[in-house]
Formats: sequence, C-alpha cells, structure tokens
Amino acid sequence: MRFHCVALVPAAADEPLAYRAAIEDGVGTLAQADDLGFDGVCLADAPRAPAFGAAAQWALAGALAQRTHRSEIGVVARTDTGAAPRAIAEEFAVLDNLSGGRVRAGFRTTSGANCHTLGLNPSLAFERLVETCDLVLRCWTEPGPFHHEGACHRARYVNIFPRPFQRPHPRVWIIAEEHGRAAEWAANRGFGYCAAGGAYADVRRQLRAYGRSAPPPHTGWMVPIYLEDDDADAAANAAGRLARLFREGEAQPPELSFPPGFLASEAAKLFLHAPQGPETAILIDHGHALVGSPRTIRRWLLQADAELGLADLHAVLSFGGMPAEQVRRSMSLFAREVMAPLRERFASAERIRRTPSLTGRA
Amino acid sequence: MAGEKQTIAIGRCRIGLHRLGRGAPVLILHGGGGPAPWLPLAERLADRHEVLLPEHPGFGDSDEPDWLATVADLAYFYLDFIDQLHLEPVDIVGHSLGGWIAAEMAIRCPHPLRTLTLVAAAGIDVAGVERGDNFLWSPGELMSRLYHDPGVAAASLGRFLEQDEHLTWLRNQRILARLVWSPRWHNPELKKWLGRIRVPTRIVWGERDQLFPPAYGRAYAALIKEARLTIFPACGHVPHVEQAAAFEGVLRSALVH
Repeated sequence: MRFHCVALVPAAADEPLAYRAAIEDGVGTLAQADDLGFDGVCLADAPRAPAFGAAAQWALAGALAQRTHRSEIGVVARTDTGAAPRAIAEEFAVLDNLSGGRVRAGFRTTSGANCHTLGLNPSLAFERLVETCDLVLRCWTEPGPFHHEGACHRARYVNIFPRPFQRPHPRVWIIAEEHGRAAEWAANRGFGYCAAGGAYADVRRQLRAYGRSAPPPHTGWMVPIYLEDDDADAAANAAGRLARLFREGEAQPPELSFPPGFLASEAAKLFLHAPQGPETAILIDHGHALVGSPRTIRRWLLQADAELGLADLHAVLSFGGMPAEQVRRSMSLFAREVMAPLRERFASAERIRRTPSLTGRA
Repeated sequence: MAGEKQTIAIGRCRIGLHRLGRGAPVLILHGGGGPAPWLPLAERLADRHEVLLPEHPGFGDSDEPDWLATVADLAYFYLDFIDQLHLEPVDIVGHSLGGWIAAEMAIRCPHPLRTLTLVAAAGIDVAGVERGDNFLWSPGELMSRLYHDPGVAAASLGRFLEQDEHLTWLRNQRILARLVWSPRWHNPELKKWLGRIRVPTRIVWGERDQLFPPAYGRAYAALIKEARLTIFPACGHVPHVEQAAAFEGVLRSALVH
C-alpha cells in the first residue's frame, strides 16, 4: 500500500489573508508529509465545492514541486474548467519536468455546480472525462500535429510542448465520488481508480466493481483521517471539522450538485433516497471518515487491504479548516504509528509471499 | 383508449405512441414532463380527429438513439414520422419542448403542416426577459412554478410522489438536459427563420408562466406571419391542464381553420 497525504483548501477561504494562510498551511503540511516519508502528496479542493480555477491549481502544484523532494505529486485536473485538453496536457508536462518526473496525473469529472455556472451539459460529464483523458494521452504520446474531432472538443492541429519528463507518460488515475461508469471505464483502460466520498460500504462496492476488471495495484481510496492517542478524544476533536467538511458538500441543494444526467440513473436514484447531513458519529461509524487512535485506524486499513487489495491510500489529513498544528500532530501520529508499522507488515507479507520455500514454488 | 400505448418504429428507433380516434390527423408533441398531461385532452379530441401522441425518442420507454443530441434531431425525426405514417397534411400541436420541436419542423419543411399550435413553446430567447431555470428547482418548487393554481400544483406533486417512477423521471430529465442545457432552452438561429412559417399558427400562453413569461409568446406571435396569440389569465406553464376547458375551445377552433 502506498500512502499519499491530501490537504483540502477550504472553499470558504475567500478573504485574501485567509486564502493566503490556507494555501500556505496546505503547502506547508504537504512539505512536512514529504519529510515524514509519505509516498505522495496532493493538494485538492473540498469535494463538491466550487473548484479553484485551473491557474490556481497548477500554481499550487508548482509550489509543491519546489517544496517537496521525493514524494509523488498528485494533481487532479477537473475536466470542467474550460481548459482545452491540450492545455491540461501541457500543464501536467511542465509540472512533470519541474518536479523531475514526480507527477501523478489525476482526472475527475466536472462538478455539478460548474455544469450550471459554466454551461457544460451534465449529461455529457462522463463523456467529457473520457474524451479529455484520451486526448491528453494522445498529446503526450503521439507525434504532432494531429487532428482531433470529438463530441466535446475539436482541434484541427494538436501539437504540445513540452512532453512529460516521464516516458511514455505519468501514471494516470481517475477520481470519482459515485460513478460506476467511471470505475468500469478506468479498469478497462488500465488507469488507477480512486473512490472518494461515501461510506466504506459504498467505497467497497465501487472498488469491487473496479477490481473485477483491473489488477489490484491500481485500487485507491480517498478518505478523511484524523488521529489522536485515544478514540474518544479523536472523535470529540474532529467533530467540528467533519461537520464543516460534510456541510460544505451538503449545503448545496441536490439540483445544484447533481444536475440531470450528471449521475448514471441508478446512482442518481440512490442519491435521491440517501439520508442528508448524517451525524458525525454516523460518519465515523460508517467509515465516511476514519477517526480514532492509531490502533483503530490500522484496523480500518487492514480491513480495507484484506477486502479490496488497496494499493493507494489518499489520506485526507487536512480538512474542514483544521488548524495547521492540529493537522501536523495527527499527521505525525499517522506516519509513526500507522504508516510505518503497516509498511513493515506489508513488506513482511510480501517477503513471505515471494519466498519459494513457503509458497511451494521452485 | 389513450392509455393503451403502442410501440412504433420510425427508421430503427422505436417509440411509444398513443394513437386514437379517426379524422384529420393531429400530432401532439409533449413537453419535458412526458405525454401524460395530454392524455385527457387527447381522448376528448379523438371524437373528431385521429390523435397521435408519441413519446419522444429518449423519453419513457422509447429508444435512446445514438443520433439524439439536439432538438433539431427530433424535428427531423418527426418529419420522418409524418412521412412514414402518411399524415400529410397534419395539424401539429407542441408544448414547451414539443413547441420548440414543432417550430424547428415548420421552418425546415412547412409543407406537411396544415396548422401549427405552439403552447408555452421553448426555442427562442427574448433579450431582457428573465426565464425560470427548471433545472434548479426541486420537484416541489417545479410544480409550484409550473402551475399558477396552488391546488393544481399540489395535485400534480401528489401524483408525482405517488408514482414509483423515479427512474423514468430521471431518464426524462437527463434527456431533457442533453437537449436544452446550452444554450438553455433555445436555438439562437431559430428566430431568423420563423418568418418561413406560412401556415395558420396559434400561439397559446399562460399569463403567469414562470418558465417562459408571456413576452415569449408575444415574441413568437410577432415573428410568425399568420400567428394569433391567446393568453390565458390565471394560468401557468401548462394551459392544457390548468385551463383545460378554455384551452380545448381554443385548440378546436384552431383545428377547424
């Protein structure tokens, strides 16, 4: 299992000083995660909140490339910013060169709210994701100029510069909150797939659907995590932040978050009947967020590994406007008491699996 | 009976069709909510007409063909429908989305039409007149805004909630979004060509229409040469339900033109 640290920039940090403090905290937290030995870092916007603009996303990723030295840099390109796929391909490529080949290229569908504000047809959200990914990969791997004619994008001459530092291209992963279609498509394309949002049971359902067609090393889970030495203290001190995180998502009416066609019909039906605004205790009990002592968090992750063959854990360790000091205490505890022992445990299991005398292989 | 829906194939696209009565054919093109609100009137009109009330491709149980992307696609489809069923000359009645389809048909190929009736029709934009946004309304708000009379709105919402047809509703909404999302509810080119329509045309609107205010009806009437405008007071977006008797009178007079 690879461990990635994710920091969410609060959507409400729109005052200049507050926003500056928020991004400084986010980048600083991820720089510390790099020092602590996380395999990857990722700065993202709060789920379902309005995305910060493409420029902000790439600028922050550039800052991460300078402030980190060894970890992968996960960037999630939203396919709704109005940027042409070739611009996305170039931004990734510049960042990959800047970081010396540490970029992991994520893609996600548009947000429902941006379908309204940007006039993007929600019934084509999935098609737009597929076409964008395909065109970005062509940009990275195919000599230009070439011609692209798709349902969502058209370009007579496509020829990008620079190409990515990693050849043939950075690792691609798809992040989705509820898209069964996205999981199946990602599996068939050999992309990584990261489930985000929902209870553990929903994540398990998504990842099992994905895993039917894809090898286990591509399976990911993005989940908020908060640790203290004691379960009760962790729950008490995370409650307000979790409420804020999930309220930020729930504050939008469903018509804004999930316009018609944005979800596959079955997923939309499930959503329409889902309870709104669950209590913090339910969020924790059902695994919307992993909150507790290191022992509790290890138990969750061992269960996920056993059931799902989890390859990439995207631990959202900074969320809900949590103060930087609180984030860093939790993150240090995670690195020391969860990540390190689990790595040792997984490495031992791998050594045993590969030992010929124990597997019966010559 | 109108409730007995048959399936018919136009080309390779199968759609649901309510077909009843005998006489001069009347083709009714439903709005985004599907054909159900038209069924009572369709049954009454069947005393003197052959009434055809199809379910658009992509809606309800009808096929969702690969080619379906724009309202113009539906216009061509229904021109084929008229041709295949030998309906010419035909009276066309279109409501909301269906009105837009009818207008797109009429500017492309006016000769199969005998008369045209546009009811709270989408399809054009009127500068400076704010339209409602149905995609931001919850089901309850949608009903209260579509109907002027709170009692009618409540009854419609009640029927909606009683029906265990959320998947159908979601499917209709998805197709509707595909067709009308952007530009929202209109074709910027349509106004340029409405002058091509030379058949007797009746424009019918509700004075309290919150989706497309009456200024849209007046704009249509100004752009189509032989158009007559009727605006019902105390009526929202669905005159054939909310002012059923008065609407029926207007429509019958339009059909005997």
